[in-house]
Amino acid sequence: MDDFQLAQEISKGNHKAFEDFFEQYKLKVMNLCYGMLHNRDDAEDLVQDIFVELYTSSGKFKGNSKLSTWLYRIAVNKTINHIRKNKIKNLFLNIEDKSNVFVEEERVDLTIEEREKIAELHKFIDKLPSKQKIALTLFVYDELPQKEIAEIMGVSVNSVEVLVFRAKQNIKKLMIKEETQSNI
Amino acid sequence: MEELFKKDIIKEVNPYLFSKIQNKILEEKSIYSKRTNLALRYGLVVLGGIILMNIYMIFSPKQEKYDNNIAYQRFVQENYFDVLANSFNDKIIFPEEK
Repeated sequence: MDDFQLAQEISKGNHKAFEDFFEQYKLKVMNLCYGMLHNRDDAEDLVQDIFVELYTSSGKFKGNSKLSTWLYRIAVNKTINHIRKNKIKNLFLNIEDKSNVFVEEERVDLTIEEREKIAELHKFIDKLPSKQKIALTLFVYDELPQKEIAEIMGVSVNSVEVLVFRAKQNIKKLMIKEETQSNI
Repeated sequence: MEELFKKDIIKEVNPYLFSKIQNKILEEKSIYSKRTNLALRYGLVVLGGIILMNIYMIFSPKQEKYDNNIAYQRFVQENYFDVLANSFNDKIIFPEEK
């Protein structure tokens, strides 16, 4: 079954096809959302919305790209919208976004030091320009090849390479700056 | 940094996630059908209203009332010549004497 047929089956309500597709991509989508939001609960809520959206609009899939690429596009757009809405909400309610200040305590697989370091890493990722953040998340958290990231983002493979490189450089710079400041 | 990234990657998701998604889909479907029903009902009410209004317009003696209106009759009596002059060529109204 090709991707177009699969989308048609999902739109017709083929439960098995939808469940198989979900099982195949749940972790990828979860990591994309988590890599951008740094909050497991929010990421999980968003994953639900993304797959509901895929289910309801799968009839519109024309087969011009892979179904997974289409899914990632939905995921990226939904995540960006979520971040934007949260920023506006926090601005109005005058709340400081603390989602990246701590890493969930349920991460028992990590030591306290690792949690702190990862929290810092989240803070630095959030300081990146939007495109760098998306490219880095898809490359690092989703472990996608640059060609697929290029298709999802609608840019060239070279641009993806540059975006990921610059994102990592920027994070390194921020890490060094943070270290020197804490030493002073 | 690469190691931190690897450690931060999520390796498993909530086992009830798929059933939650299914519930959401069912919820959306019911909301959609409720909205469609509501829209259909409103549509029918509006359509019925339009039909009734048209029937009333057809059988109402409004046009006759308008023709018999005293103010309208007075206007016609007082201004019929001006109206006529604007509508027709002077030569038709005042034919040149030969």
